[in-house]
Amino acid sequence: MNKRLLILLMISSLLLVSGCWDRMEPEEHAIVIAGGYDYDPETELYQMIFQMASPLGLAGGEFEGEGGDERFWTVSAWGHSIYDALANLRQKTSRNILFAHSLIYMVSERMAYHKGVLPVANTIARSRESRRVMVLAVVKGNDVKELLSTEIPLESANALGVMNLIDLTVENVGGTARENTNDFFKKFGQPGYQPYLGALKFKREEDEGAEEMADPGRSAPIMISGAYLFDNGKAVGYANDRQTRGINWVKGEINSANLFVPYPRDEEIEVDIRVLRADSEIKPVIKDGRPRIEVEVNARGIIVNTSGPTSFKEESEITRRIERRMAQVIENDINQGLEKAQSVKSDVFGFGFAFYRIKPKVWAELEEDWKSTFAQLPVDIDVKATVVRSGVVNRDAQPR
Amino acid sequence: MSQEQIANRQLWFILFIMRMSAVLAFLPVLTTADALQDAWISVLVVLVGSEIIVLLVAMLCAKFPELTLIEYSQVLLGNWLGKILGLAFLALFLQLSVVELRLYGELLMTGFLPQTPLLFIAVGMVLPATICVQQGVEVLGRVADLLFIVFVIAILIALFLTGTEIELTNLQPVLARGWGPVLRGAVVPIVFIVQIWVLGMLAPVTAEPEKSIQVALTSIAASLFTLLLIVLTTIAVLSPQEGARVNFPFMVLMRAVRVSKFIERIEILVIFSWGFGVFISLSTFLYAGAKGMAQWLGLEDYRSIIWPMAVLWVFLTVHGFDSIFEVYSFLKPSIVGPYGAAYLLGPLVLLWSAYGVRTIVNKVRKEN
Repeated sequence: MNKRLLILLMISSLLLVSGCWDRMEPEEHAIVIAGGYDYDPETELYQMIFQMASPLGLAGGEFEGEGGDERFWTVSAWGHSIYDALANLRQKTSRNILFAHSLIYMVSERMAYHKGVLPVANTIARSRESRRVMVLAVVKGNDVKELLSTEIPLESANALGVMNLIDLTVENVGGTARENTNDFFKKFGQPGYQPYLGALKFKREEDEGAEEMADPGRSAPIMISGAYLFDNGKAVGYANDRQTRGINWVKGEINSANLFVPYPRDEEIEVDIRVLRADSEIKPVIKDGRPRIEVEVNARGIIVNTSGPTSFKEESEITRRIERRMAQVIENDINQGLEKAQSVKSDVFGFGFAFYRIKPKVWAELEEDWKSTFAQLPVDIDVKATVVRSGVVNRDAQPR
Repeated sequence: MSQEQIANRQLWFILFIMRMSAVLAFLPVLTTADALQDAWISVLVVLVGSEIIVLLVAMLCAKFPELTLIEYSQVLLGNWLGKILGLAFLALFLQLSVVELRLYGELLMTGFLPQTPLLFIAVGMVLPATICVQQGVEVLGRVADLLFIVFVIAILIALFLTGTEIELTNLQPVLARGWGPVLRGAVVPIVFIVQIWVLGMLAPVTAEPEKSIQVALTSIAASLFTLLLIVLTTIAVLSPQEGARVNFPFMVLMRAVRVSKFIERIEILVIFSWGFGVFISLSTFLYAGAKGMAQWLGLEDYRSIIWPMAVLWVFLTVHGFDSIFEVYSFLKPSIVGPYGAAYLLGPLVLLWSAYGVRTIVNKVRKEN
């Protein structure tokens, strides 16, 4: 009797195994891999654009024909608020929408300026599905929908391509920002610190520079360049490549960057230098009762190419001059970035944060009108550049 | 019938897990006050405060190695007063486990199972605890043995994986706003040490009750040291302002980390370990409550009242609070602070003064 009861109990426990209230079956979901937002200041409506992945399409060649060629699907809807737009979007989607796998959320330029990025960042912070590793970006111009619907050569899905683009640009070029939601909120909440978000651009054929594209119909339609500077959650200005790289030098966030300087003995020859490491230190000081910032940047690079016969065999006046010029290039970058940030009063460097951290008593006095202080803040830049290696050869082939 | 026994090692594990799981997910040092980047100093304050309280409680238990808390309150304070105090302790065990279970339920519903009824989660947590206690305190001890390793390893792995995101600048400035915020942050975690009263129920069943002072002190110190690591990591990764505004900082901490393209979603480590922790502390409280209730009522075996008590627990967990806001307003330093302090100081003063009077009276009697 007891045994039978036990068996019955064990069998009935199978009922629990079958699932629960919140069960999720992957094939019943539309998996969002990228989200875009636009805001129309005239109608005061938000547009929500989601790029959903088709798992069969993403699986690659072997399924082709079976899963169809469509690897992702972009759908959009307008609404009075973010979730209102989402409700409207659900009416067009035949499956339950799953946000947990989204890689990136981007907002249009006009939304960044008018509403800021908080309507999006807040949904990430509050929603249980979203994660703070999701990257935030701004789309230069307002072509969010075009950007999210276009196919990127070599990539199986648009969002994956965009993410690679951002990662590689940050890794190799340094002229942009890769900020995820956690980074954004960290800076947003800390005193005297402002976030900046990377800028994406959808290239239209009529755009300037479009003729550079080898094959206008099929060439890379998206590029990443520069960053938007924020203040209080809203964009206040755009920093171009050079300026953004300057900001990144100060923040010590350059992983790698390419510079070229003229060869000291022959100004016609360009020497390409790849910076492989750059550290920085921000020191807040008070001089004559006024706040100042001292920035120390330490960059180490290697020579990757030259356009003529050069020679860097040993430590010499030549290498020292190359290093000085390299430092000069970096300092110019920083000055440009600084000028931009100060003109829009967005402390993306965290100079105020440096005062708050290291001189909290001084910060208590500065906090009140830090923005105007920052706009006038004198900054001493000290760049130490070192060329550490010259590649496989130390001299170019010399003409006889 | 031989007396059921647990090893002192197992008591150590139980106290450690219980202390951790109460504060693990909602990190009261950070979320209940404005300590911000100084919250880790609050942990040190908590360490000192807790150790003093634990010492007082454990010394009291060591004076009566054979008797439980309920029994020796009656020995010291007489039948009536002792019974009232005993009832207060039973109510305390009930409340503590209800708050803890509710918090875990809220976490699961916020983070993972938004549509699942709270009742289901509460039953799902209390049922295993009930079965465990039904099997006796030895089983509880062995489960603690088993889960302790999982618990600690999961937390350490979780902390290790966040390593790449640590920004030490988030910890500055240190003590810029003085000691006020630090002390305010320490209030709630200190009063949560009222949990240590379960030592009065567990010490008599350990193999060497007289060693329970040492066990309790080292166990609480170890758990607070682990908490210190967690708080430091949370502040360094999330920034103090963000850590203080999220409901469950440890979970969000895990969600803010991407170890590589293939390893993310590591919060499962924390949720599992916290779940194990809640299971251990529920079992402990249920054992303490049932055993105490049986002794209070003069029943021979505590097992007969476990199930009715479990039902009461589930009921209070689901209906005790209407929303998470009620839970958090209960956990405000100004409310739970005096309440917990009354539970700590009241019994301590009563019992120790009764003990003092008794020793003096005994001495005087002997002399006569």
